[in-house]
Amino acid sequence: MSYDIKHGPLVAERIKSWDLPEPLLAELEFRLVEDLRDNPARNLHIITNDPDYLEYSFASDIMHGGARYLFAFRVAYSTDEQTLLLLDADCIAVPD
Amino acid sequence: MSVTSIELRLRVREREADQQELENWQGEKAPDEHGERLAEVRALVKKCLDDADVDRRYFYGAYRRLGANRVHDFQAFGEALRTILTTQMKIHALVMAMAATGAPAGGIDNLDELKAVHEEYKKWKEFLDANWPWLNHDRLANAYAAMKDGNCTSTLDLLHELRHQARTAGGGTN
Repeated sequence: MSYDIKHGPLVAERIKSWDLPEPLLAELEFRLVEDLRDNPARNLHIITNDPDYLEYSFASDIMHGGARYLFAFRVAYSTDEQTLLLLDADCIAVPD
Repeated sequence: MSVTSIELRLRVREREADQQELENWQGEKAPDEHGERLAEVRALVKKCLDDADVDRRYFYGAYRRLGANRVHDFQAFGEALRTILTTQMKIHALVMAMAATGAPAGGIDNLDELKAVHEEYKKWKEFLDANWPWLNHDRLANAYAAMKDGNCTSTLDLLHELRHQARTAGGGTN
């Protein structure tokens, strides 16, 4: 089955604040579709000591400003069983 | 070479044991300016400097591991790294205090080097606190509250919109 991926205002604010260039936004969109929409369990990790939350992360293939970007999302399954909720998001540049 | 979670956990135990040992040792030994204690403090300073070389590898190795997408437990990994740094800074403080009370001025050659290394650890810790994807429970609680109110929208739509804005701002390169 295919999940809708949704977020609240806080995650929207954070993603906007990263001010990512278009290629990184494209990769982010691609990864969310590829990794989470159809088979999220494969790519979600349980957070030790905080089993209420799942984590999805990836380091970008695309370099920007001499760095790869690490994206980390805290995720929960919605009670409707059709939606993945992105609860929090982080993005850090990791110099290559 | 990047560092592994198990290496970090072993290092945490080792450092905590070192700190405990030093605290015990400090309580047992009376200051002796010219004797055994001076030699021991010198050895401790040297060990701190050697440990800094290893920790430098851990610190930068951890970020390399992040960049290679090989960290899947940010909390545990980051906390282990932070514990190593904070424990080692406590060890530095103990050693510097011993050097100040138990050694004649200039009796320990590389004390300035230890002070510089201590400052380097402080910077690492500041960087780690600011640049690690830590779990933020306040943000999570707020997000849950918003979700319960039905305040959520499609992430792919948001990204689509942001891409459109970025293309427009960048002159439509894609």
